[in-house]
Amino acid sequence: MRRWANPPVLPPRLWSHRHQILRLVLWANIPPAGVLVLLHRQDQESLFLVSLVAGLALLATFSRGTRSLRATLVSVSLMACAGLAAFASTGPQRFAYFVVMTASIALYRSWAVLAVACLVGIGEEFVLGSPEVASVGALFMLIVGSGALIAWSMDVRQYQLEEGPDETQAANRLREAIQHGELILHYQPKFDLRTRRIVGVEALVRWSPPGQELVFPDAFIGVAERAGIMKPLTFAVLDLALRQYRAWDDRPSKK
Amino acid sequence: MSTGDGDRTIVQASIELAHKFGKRVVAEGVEDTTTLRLLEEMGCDQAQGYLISRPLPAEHLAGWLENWVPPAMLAA
Repeated sequence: MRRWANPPVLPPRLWSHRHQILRLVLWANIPPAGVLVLLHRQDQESLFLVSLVAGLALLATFSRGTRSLRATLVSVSLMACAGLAAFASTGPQRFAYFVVMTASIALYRSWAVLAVACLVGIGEEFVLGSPEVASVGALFMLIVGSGALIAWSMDVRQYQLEEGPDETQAANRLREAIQHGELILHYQPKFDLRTRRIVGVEALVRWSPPGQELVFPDAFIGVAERAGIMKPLTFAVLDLALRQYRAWDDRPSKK
Repeated sequence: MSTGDGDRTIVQASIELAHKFGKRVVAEGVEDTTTLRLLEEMGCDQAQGYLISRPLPAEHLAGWLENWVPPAMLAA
């Protein structure tokens, strides 16, 4: 299922999460866009709409149940209010509308959102402008939105484990990883408190996708459990651990 | 664990329970010597954590073992 209102959070390793940072930056554009609307149209209805958008944006950010119907409703009403806010402030403030819309597309990452953005854009121009302006606006929206979505789909290919809206895709990728031997083990030493010697190691699984950073089990065990591939994963890990045990055991004894 | 009396009681009781069942106890996530000493006092069998080492790739393990110095303990 799609994650509709996934809050943009800044994680510790910056470069590997640059797409999330981009989302954060886009998200941060919503309040300035609201201010722009207010500056150009100083009336009560704009104030009301902008605060509504800001409130819903906050709600969407802090609603942790990302898979719930509530979150979906929140994001949809957020979109609707963004459209209304832009509607209430036609003129040079169209810029604000575009910022809000592109930010929403990037955040919610769905073609449905792009379609809604285009429709609201066209509708707005038809009511308050001319059909020519409407088509130009829609075209612009389509180009910007498509760009955002293409960037997103490339992003997903690389980061599907953390971000993937499509769990099946992640599960298939994990299945391949098991078959292609992309799983590796790290070993954490165990220290005996009486003999004060290292008496063993604990084997911990890691996923090492070619040319990418190491993925830790908390990011893929859940996927494996839900996809029913814990058994092949367990056997792959067991196989690795036993091979390594054998390799250590076969070494000329040097203690 | 090294800060709360309640936590300490839980750890102590868990160690004793395991020992009564004839099991050995491994303490995971040991990050400082204070905790290690406490565990030793409580009769814990083994310890694991960043104080000793983070998880290592197999090829680094032998080298690590050669250079490793055991942490200071109660019995010198």
